[in-house]
Amino acid sequence: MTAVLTAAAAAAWAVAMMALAAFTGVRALGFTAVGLTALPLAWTAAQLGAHRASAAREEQVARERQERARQWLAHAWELGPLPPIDTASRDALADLIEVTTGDAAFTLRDLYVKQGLLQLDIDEVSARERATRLAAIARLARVRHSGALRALLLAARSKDSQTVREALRAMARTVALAHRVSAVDQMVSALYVANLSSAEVEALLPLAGAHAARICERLIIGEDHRYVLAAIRAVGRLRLTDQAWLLSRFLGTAANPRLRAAAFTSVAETGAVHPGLEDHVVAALLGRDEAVAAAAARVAARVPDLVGPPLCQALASAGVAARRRAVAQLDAQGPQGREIASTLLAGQGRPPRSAAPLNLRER
Amino acid sequence: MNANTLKQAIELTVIAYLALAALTGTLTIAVTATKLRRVWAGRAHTLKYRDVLRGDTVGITILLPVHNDGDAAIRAVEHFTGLAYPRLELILINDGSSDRTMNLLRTGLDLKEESYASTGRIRTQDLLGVYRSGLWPNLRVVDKLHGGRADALNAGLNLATHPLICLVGVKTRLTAATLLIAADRFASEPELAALSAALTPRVERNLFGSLQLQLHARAVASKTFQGKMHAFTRVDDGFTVVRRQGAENVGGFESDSNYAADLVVRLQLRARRRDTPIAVRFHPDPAGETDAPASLRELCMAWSEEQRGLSRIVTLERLTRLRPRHGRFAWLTLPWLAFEALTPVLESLAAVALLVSAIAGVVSWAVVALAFAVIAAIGSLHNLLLLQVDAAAARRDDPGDRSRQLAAAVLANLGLRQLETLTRAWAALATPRRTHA
Repeated sequence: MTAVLTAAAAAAWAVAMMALAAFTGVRALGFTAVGLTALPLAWTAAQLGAHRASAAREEQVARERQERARQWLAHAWELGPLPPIDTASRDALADLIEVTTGDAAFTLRDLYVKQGLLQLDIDEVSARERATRLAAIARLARVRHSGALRALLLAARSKDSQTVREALRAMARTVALAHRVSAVDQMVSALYVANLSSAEVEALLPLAGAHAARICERLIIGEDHRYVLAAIRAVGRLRLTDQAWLLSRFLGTAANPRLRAAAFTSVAETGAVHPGLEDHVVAALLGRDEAVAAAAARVAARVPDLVGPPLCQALASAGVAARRRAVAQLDAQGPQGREIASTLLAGQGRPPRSAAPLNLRER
Repeated sequence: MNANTLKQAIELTVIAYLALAALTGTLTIAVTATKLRRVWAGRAHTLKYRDVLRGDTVGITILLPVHNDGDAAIRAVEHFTGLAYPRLELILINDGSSDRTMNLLRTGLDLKEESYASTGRIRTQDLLGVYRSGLWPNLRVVDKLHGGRADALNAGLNLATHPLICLVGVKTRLTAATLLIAADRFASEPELAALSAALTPRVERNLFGSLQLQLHARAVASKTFQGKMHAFTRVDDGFTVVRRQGAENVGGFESDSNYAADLVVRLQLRARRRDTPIAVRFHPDPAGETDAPASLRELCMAWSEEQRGLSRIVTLERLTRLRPRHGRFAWLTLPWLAFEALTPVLESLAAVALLVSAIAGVVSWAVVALAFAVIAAIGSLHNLLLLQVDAAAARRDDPGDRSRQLAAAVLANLGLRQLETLTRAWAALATPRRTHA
């Protein structure tokens, strides 16, 4: 019914357009308009047809996978024969491994290796066809078997950026389950080979689970500076308190401002107090870089007793502009920050006007 | 110029405009269908969702401003806290409600006052207190003096702790996978600054409801096309996700209506000035549902509100910044916005001019009748196509609704479309006056 009405509307429009063009004596314009509009019209019809076909195919694949998953489960517990090994079957088993835990996951993973499916995936990781390669990597990301790490490391050298990204995601997920220390080495090597953006590495690190701490440590200590920012941010974001001592080298004035701001943020997030932290915070608060000062103010708001006295001393000798900047940054940190700001101003012979937190907006 | 030349010029303009409208409209639908087919195909791959669930989660803070709407706020909180997302924070901002809203929230959500530290530096009206819910620990309620919607959002932004901010309305209801998909898009595309998605209107099962679905499908197609042309800025206030850092860098929210679109325009301008890559995306697959206007009057008010927001963006500050160094944003996005803002006025004037010309005898009535026949036919054709595209996107296939929707597809061109044009034109003309006042 809808198709018939659509065809009728299209015909009505074409007739009306041609009649209008004929009436006004610009028949050519009418033909052009109808001809040009017919193209996207036909394209839309083709898209809708393709959608119907793909929806039907999608349903069939889902049904097949469900059936294979049932067969795999029956086979794993010796209740049925081995299902036929095809793509749906491999995907179904990888899906099962991903969603199961404990002994069940171990049994299914063992089955995956014994039936040669892991080796099949490892072989396909270096396939020429992109879709085959990505499908194999996706399966390995679900299976998370450390035997695939070497193949994934090779895939991380690929020229295709999508392959590189997916291979690293699969590696990070696999490393999270790996017991060997060499898995971390392989992950770090893959990261250096891959040349990702800082944001991508930052998104990748949480996938490595408990090994993220060691990877961050290696990225911060290493001579290659590409991923230092991502690693510093990850220390704070993942609350890696054991690695927080690594941040102290980035808190000084000599450090790159972006790294410095990130390091202060991570210190605030982890709550790690290093020796000499208060001096770094004071220097950052009185410095000219706004981002660094804002991050340092976050730290100051969390350790007011530590930062307050040296900050008070430093402010006494600082210029008016530096003082104002520092107080404004502290003010933005809410009641705790305002409390320090009030103390500082009080220390300089200008007590706050009331016991309530100082409202700097009124000035 | 003699009468004959004038007649020819008018007729030629009319036919050229109608041809262009037919072509662009059909092209828009073709692009939407193509884009949606990719989304449909992407539905088969659930790996990404699982990856997100397994630990690659970027934290999301949902900001929910409320003013005198306690019951709706509690219903919204119940919905958002039930979303299956591992790192979720919900900040409800009571923007100086003058009724019992705060009392309702306090009792209904078991609120306890807590000390707070603001992470942002955007100036807002004073906060009266920050509370944490005893029922949902990831829910915080901010009580503040009234300062408008933008001010409320800024207060929430200052307290947000996660890197992504999700802007929603009290009537928004998201689907389970929406936040996962959004987080995945942000994690995989570092230059993505804002992501918006279509919200299906919750409508009654009557002709008015079907007409609203028709309007919704048209809006989605228009936004998808703009997204494809990299000219998309009209993100929806009902559901938009932005990066917190980006929002803070441009000074937070400024406008009380169309605040998300306003923020996105400022984000784009800032990125162009600094020559940094930026992307704003529209996801045509429905992200959830929202209440549709209940009456024609409310629908007109929604159109006016939208038009005013658009006109504000275009007229007040943005067109003054048409500088070549802003690149595609300057020569495509902003002119597009301006064209969109002016279209209702131009269409209304053109229709009046055509009728006046016919009355004056400059143009024959046959041309006028044929022109309106062409408009009605192409409008119906577009609506019928959109109906099929939208039904495929939302997986709707209700035979009972079909006849009503077909009727709506045809009837939408015979009155509702014209009413929308006139309402928008009026709102566009009224905007400078209101702003000046």
